[in-house]
Order: sequence, then structure tokens, then C-alpha cells
Amino acid sequence: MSDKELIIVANGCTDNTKEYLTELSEDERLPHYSWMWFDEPTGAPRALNEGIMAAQGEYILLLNNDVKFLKQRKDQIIKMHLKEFEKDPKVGIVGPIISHCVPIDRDFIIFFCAMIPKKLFEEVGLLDEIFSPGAGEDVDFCVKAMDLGYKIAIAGAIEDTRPGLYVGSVPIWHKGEGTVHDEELIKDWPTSFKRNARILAERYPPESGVVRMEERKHILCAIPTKNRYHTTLPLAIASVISQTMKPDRLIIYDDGEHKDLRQFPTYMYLFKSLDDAKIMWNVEYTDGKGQHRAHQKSNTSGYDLVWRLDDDTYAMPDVLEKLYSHIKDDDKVGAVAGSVITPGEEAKDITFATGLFDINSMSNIQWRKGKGVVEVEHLYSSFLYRANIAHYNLELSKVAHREETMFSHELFLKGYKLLVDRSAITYHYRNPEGGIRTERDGRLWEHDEQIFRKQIDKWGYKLIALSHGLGDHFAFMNIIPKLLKKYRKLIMFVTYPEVFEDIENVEIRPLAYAQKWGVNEKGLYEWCTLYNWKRSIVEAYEKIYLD
Amino acid sequence: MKKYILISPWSKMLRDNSYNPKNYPHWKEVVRDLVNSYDIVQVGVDGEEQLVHDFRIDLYLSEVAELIVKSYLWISVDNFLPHLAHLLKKQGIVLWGESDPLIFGYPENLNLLKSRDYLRKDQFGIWDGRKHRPEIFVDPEVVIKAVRG
Repeated sequence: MSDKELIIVANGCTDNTKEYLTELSEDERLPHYSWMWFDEPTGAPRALNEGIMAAQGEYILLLNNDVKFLKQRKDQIIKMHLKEFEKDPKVGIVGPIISHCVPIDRDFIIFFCAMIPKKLFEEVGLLDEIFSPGAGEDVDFCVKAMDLGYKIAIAGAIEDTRPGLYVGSVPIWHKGEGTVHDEELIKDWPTSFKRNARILAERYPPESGVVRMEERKHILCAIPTKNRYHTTLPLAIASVISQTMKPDRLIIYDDGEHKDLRQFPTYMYLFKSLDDAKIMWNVEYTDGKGQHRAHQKSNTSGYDLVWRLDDDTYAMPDVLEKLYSHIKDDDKVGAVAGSVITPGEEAKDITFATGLFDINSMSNIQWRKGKGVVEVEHLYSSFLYRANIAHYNLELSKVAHREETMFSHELFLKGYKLLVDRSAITYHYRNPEGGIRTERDGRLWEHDEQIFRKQIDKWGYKLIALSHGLGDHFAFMNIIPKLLKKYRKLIMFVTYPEVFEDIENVEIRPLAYAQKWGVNEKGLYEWCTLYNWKRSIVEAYEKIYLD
Repeated sequence: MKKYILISPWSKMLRDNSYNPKNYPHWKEVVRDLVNSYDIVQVGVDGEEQLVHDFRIDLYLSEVAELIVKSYLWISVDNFLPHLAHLLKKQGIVLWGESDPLIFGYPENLNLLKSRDYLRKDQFGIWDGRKHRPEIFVDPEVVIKAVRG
């Protein structure tokens, strides 16, 4: 380091950094060492600018604090970068990694490690601190430099790309986003990241004139998968690639054997196609405890919208575009689904369920294609939804029975509309291999059904079965006002439905369906006999249902 | 139409098709007396004994409700009608036998019970197999007097 200047800009440090930096001043190996101290975090752009302004050298190598120089020949990293400037005088920025900024469709050097001539800062300007706390300032600087005629170049060569990891020939290791996910250091990084992306999108609209950030609304496609690598998962991925409207990112949540999909040619082709379609993607290994956990991750990943697909589905090319068209301009829409049909086994019923309490007695309206857009109370399988409003119930077992029903109904109860566009078709193959279909323990489904029933109680629904005579039905009517003060809605399984027609917040179902909901009638006459009841039956009903 | 009295004379037929013990045995005498002064409308189901000319069978509940509301008076045995009338806040006359008006009736009605001694011990038991006992019901003159009074 005798011929190199080292400048460290410490900002917002709360550990023993100050002591460490002070000690370094005594290190004879660093004759040209200096450091700056800021008590409060300045954000990366400002911190880098302070160092840039203080630097004396002809070239400046910017480095993040989560990098590590690996074993190398003397000055190997420096020489690898300098070589690119020597090869081409038009090169203005060199780094180990070139990345692509999707919102503006431009390449850039990631500034975790980047070498830039000092004089370029005089021409382009310093890093724009509007991007504080960070992310985007490197894109912005590179684009400005390229617009002035400079080039960006890779030091060395990229040897391999893997989901979320780059491997190049420069001997440097970068943890990546080592600071930003610490909530104590940076609050709400996802919001900050999105804001910066929008700034870039507004500053540098792509040549097509379309600002993709605004169009896409940060859509994440989430496909949880379990051991369907060689059957239907490729179909689901292919259908994402083929969408007329692309999501911003696809995450495949592998809840199964955690295979390295890159080893399979099918997936190499699919991944290349995703790259070509400019859909960012990665595979995330999850803990095998059920797809609802993966869905909750995607739900809280910072995206505005999540499009969930099962790993045994194929969405027709216009599905996402159709679903998005209903949600993009209507804040009241919480989620949109299409028809999700099993080819050759489409439901043939005449009437279909749209309400929550029809799920045990009627086919879901999504199970058959049709025309028009219908409002429903819950959704099934695949749909597009506003993220981070409702949450998945993590108490469910690994079969995650009723997960999407509970999730979507929670959105509904929060005041959002749930829509089904029956013309948006996704094929659901109900693959017998993999997924939950290999689970044989019925207790898992029973466990989840109990969770569901408890949730129904928590939501304020009261399920009541009445098998008594007509007179007793009328007597029960007397306590309905009091019941409706206590509960959100009454779901009544009765012998004489006409008694309870047209009462607000009372839904009627045939008595025969009570058992499917685990509702047993609280036998009025048995109860009265047991307690030697001498008062009116209206008072008996009050005692049974309101006490 | 003159003022009409609505009657619901029969309780539901039992499963063994036998006569329901709650049925009032003296309807014909009551109707014979009242029919000269009042229109009488009977509601019931197909198969029940017809007591008056205007017998309306198998009505929707909404239609029965309308008849109750527009009636001058209603008279019933212990069946569904007093319960519906209570919801409609329309008072009437109920003719009791073995079932207890304190449990199955409403205080705003005129509940005609001959004696609490005739009440069945097991008020919540089934009615199938029980014998009909005409003697435990009030005399028709009591009903007629209640109507005219």
C-alpha cells in the first residue's frame, strides 16, 4: 500500500470501529491512510462522495464495507481493473460485475467494487445523494457517464452466474446488501429501494418510451414447489415466460429436495429464457413445512403485488395481463383470480360457489371457465393479490389445507373486493406426484380444518344448526338481534330456510350441510329436559346461544 | 271482505299419521257459532280437515303472515302460528291442552288452558304415541265468549 492511498469513511458506527480505525493510523504499512468520522449514518452516496473529494490519486477504487479481498498476487485486483482502462481509452468505469437495471433497461457496474478515474467525477459529477441510503447511485452514475460517451467494462471475466450469486475472476468476495437488511441501521429498505427505482425510471425512461416500473407495479410471481421438478414445474415456469405481461421477478420456493436445478438442461433453457424475457428470478430453499410459509415470504418481500401459481399449473399467456387490468386502477380490489380448471375434468355444475360457506357444498366458480367478472368471498389456487395486507396462517400443517381460503377471505374482511375473471384461464393438472398429494396422514388435514374452524370463530361468524319444528324456528328469530350484536354474521343450517330469508347478516344453508361444517345442533329439547327448564323456549335459546 | 278471523286449527300430523294430541276437539262448535258474525279463514296444509269454506292450504309463510296482520283476530292451537304472530306483534287466542303456555306460549295472547293439572310432565318429549284427550281442553263456549268478548 506504499503507493496507494486508503481512505475510510465511517458513518453511523456504534461498535468499536473508531478504535480500530485509530489503531490503523499506527500501521506503518499504510503511509497514505486517512479516515473520516460521521456520528450519524450519511448513506452510501454521501460517504463515497466524501472519500472521492478527499482522494488524491488518479484512479479511485470504490469499495463497500462487506467485501473481502481473497488470496491474490500482489496488486492483482488493481491491475485487473487498470488493464481495462489501458485497453480502451473510452472506458470510464470498471468493476468485477456488470448488472442490468431492469426498470431502465441499461447495464451498469455495481459499486461494491468499481474503479473510476478521478477526472471522470469532475466531468460527470459526484454520486447523486438523492439515492441515499443507497442503491441506484451506481446505476445513475454509469448511465450519466455512458451518455457522455464513456464505456463500462468488466475487470477479468464472469465465470458463472447462479441465482443471486455471481462468480467472476477478480479475487474479491462480496456478501451483498450486508447493511441494508438490518432494521436498526436502515429502516424499511424495500420502500427505499422501490423509491430509488422509480427515480431511475423517471430519469431514464427506456428507448421504447415505456416506463416499465410504472407498468409492472413490482409484481412478484411466487411458485412454491415440492418434488415436481421433472413433471409440472417446468410447465408453470414456461407459462410465466410466455405471459404477455411479465412479472418483475419469479421466485421458485423449493420446499422439497432442494435440487440444484442448473444441472438439468430443461431448467438451464428455462432460466436463459427468463433472462431473455427480462424477468429476474431466483430459487429459494424453504424448510419443507408447507407452501403457505413460502407464500408468506413472498407476501412480505416488498413487492406491491404477488401473483401466486401452483407448481402444477400452466397459465395461459394473457392471464397476468387480464388479472392486472382489474387491480391496477381500482384500489378497492384486493385480489383477482381467473378460472383454474383441470383439463378434461372441468366442473359441470349449474350453480357455483362464490361465498365462503358454500365451499363444502358447491363447486368453486373458478373450476369452470366462463364469461364475465364475478365478486367472491375467497379465492382458490392461483391469483394476483395486493401484498402485505392479509397474512398466511403459519399454524397450518405442511399440507396447508385451506391456506388460500383463509388468506383471501381475510383480504375480503378487510374491505377489499375479490374478483374472478372467468376468461383468464390457468390449467391445473392436480399432479398426483409431489406436492401435498403424496401426504397420506389424514390428521394433517384434520388439524388444518380445525385451524380453519377456529379462524371462522375469530372472524366473528356464528354457525348454528336448527332441526326443530317451524314454531321453534320462529321462536329462535327472537334472539337473532342479540346474536347479531355479538357476531359479525350468522350462518344458519335450518329445516325451514324461508323463516330467515332477507335478514341482513344472516346466511341460510340447508340443514343437511351442517355436518360438513362440524356444526351440531344444540338440541333445544334435550337441553331443556336436562335442565328441567320451566321458562319460555325463547329464554332457553338465549341461555344456550348467548350465555 | 268483512272482518275475518283467522284460524289455524291443527297441529302437525304425527309420524305415525295419528291425530296430534294438541289439536282442539271442539272446532266445529266454535266455527258454527262464529261464522254468522265473522268471515273465517282457515290456514293449513293439504290433507287436513277443512272446517270453513275459505280454507287456504300450503301458503307461503309470507302469505300467512299477511293474513295474520290483516285479521281481526286469530285463533290457534299450539303450533307455529302463535310464534309467527308474536314476531308480527299480533295478539290472538291459543287453545292449550297438555303443552305448557308458560314454556311454549307468549303472555300477550289469551291463553286458554283448562287446568295446569292436565299438563304433561315431560314437556319436551315427543308427541308420537300419546293419546288425544278431548276432556282436557276448554269448552267451546269459553272460546266463543273469548272471541266475542
